[in-house]
Amino acid sequence: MNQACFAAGLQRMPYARYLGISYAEESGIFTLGFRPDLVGNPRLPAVHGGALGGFMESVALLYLGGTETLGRVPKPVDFSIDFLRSAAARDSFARCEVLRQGRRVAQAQVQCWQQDASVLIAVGRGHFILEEPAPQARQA
Amino acid sequence: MDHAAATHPLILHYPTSVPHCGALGQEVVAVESGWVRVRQPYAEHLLGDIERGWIHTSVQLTLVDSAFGAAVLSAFDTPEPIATLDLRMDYHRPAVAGQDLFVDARVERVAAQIVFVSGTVWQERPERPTAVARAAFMRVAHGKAVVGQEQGQ
Repeated sequence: MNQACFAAGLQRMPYARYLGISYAEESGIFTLGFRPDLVGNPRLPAVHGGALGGFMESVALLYLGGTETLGRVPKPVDFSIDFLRSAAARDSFARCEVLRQGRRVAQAQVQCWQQDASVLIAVGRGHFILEEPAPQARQA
Repeated sequence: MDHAAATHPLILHYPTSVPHCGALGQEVVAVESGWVRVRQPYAEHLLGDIERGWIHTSVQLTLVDSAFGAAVLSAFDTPEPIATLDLRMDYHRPAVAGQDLFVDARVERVAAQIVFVSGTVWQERPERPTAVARAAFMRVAHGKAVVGQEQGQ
């Protein structure tokens, strides 16, 4: 995915902009920069699990939207996260891999780490609709 | 909500004890033992698709993660640390712009080491969910291994 596609995806997705997600084209790695207002537990302190999950789901949406040249945001069907380690108060990184790319639905998974790419703090997986059904088949 | 419920520690301290929830404006609006309702006020920066006018599914995910943690804490007689092991979101229909989000989170089972929680996210009425969610939490103090995403006390 190139930087222009990432920027276009971000433009459609205000919440991903609010989280502060950035992307490096050469490595394909997404970054969630640490901010105090992303903290879920001030005692540890740790990044909020929901913020981390939202980062990972947004990475899948941005990646699928950017590589598919959909011209719009994919529609999530489901998303599951396994939390493996506590997310410390520092930057988090993620990369997305598409395991199945159908015409209408894609399966994508996201790996998330902090200091060491081989020590994952969370993994996510989900299904995303790439194409809307024809108008006559659409339900309210 | 009666007076006793309004002064429940979870309602009073939720936004300040969980900074990210405070930043998003989330508030616990009702608590029972093992059940909470949390409100996410609508704001434009929560949108995930400006062309279709939909709230970002990740906002619902964050709301669920917070509310589930609060529901688990409401089920304990004495506070104890917990960690989210996993969380699954099923997105039943889009959450639309201009309306608040609510999540109703219910503790299904408190086992010796694990707590199971389920819940629904909704806008107009609870019977018409935008998302259905399920999660498992570890009772950190009840086991030796500490894994996952530790949450408030």
